[in-house]
Amino acid sequence: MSHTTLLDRVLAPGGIRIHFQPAYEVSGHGKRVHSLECLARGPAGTNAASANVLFEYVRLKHKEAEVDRACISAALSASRELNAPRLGINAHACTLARDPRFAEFLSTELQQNGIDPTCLTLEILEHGPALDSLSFLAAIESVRALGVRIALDDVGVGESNLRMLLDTRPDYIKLDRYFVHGASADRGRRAVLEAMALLARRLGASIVAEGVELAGDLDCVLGLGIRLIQGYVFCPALSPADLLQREPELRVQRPAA
Amino acid sequence: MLATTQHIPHRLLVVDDEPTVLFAMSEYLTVRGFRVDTAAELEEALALIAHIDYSAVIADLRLTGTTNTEGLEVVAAVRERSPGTRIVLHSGYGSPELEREALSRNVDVVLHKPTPMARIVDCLTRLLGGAL
Repeated sequence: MSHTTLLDRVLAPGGIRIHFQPAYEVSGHGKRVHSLECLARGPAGTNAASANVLFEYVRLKHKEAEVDRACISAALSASRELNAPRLGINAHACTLARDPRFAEFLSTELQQNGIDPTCLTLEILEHGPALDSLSFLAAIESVRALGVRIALDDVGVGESNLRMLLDTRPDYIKLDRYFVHGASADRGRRAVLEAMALLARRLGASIVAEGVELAGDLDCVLGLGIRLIQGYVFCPALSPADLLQREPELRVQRPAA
Repeated sequence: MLATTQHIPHRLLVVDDEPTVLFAMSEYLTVRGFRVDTAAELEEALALIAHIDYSAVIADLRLTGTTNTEGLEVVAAVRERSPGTRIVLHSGYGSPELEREALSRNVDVVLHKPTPMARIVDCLTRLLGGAL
């Protein structure tokens, strides 16, 4: 007798729920939403409702490519409810390496949802040590050719390392929260942040501080010239409805009937 | 309150590929005051163990898979991440060799199916060091 597995439920229609977390651009005039990162959750009431458990499970099942596609479809569809200046979607590096039709899939999804590719950033997650570099880099170039920008996620931990930075030449470098959290009280963390901010400038990339939760850490990263901020200090990941309550300017203006 | 330490319920993970077993154990243990998560697959259990600290894990030795001893992989993951977690291995097919193997991996108790629910709770009571 076969039972419905958690993966079946994740991949079933409506199995992926999307929350959005803004990244803000902070300037002398205040802050504004720079982009919205689409964050996937599994079905409510299952273990996969937690994003950490969902993606740990998916990686253990080696189903990153299937689930990444499902998450991207759900994210682009859900984003139609919002008037986002930019969107960020996530994919594992191994999905790019193993899925030769990924760029074609992404292009179709963008068209179907009426989203301008130049307003999209593909955020690359890397959790595995081994991938086919040639296929991976070819996929990056195919995605870039659509007009989509590339971000490297969780930079500084795991396999998101300096080699990945050089190989992918990302438009955005997203610094892992490990380096941000507690930076105001830790010279070592500040040194890493400062060095990464300089490296990003030299590589022509924008840098995003992830996981900014404390006012002191916010002051710290701003003081180091990092202007793109994502984290609880400004806004957690929220459902589209909750995000609109908080950021009403993201509401889609529909023509009057 | 039952099954608690300082009013915080002990959090348990029950791993079994039989949905009826998971449902029954979850219901019974929840009524007895535990906070219960369930997993029907090895990978689901491993994903939970990677992110949640459990007071105890009750794992079936044999899950749907290729080795028939997936429960031992659950044991290894728990011991690596959370040495203080108590482990009950539940076995319907276990041989004396497998039982010895399990105990050598620091499984706290091996129970043979079918095990009355009350005995599982007694076992947890003893392992978690408090009257339930």
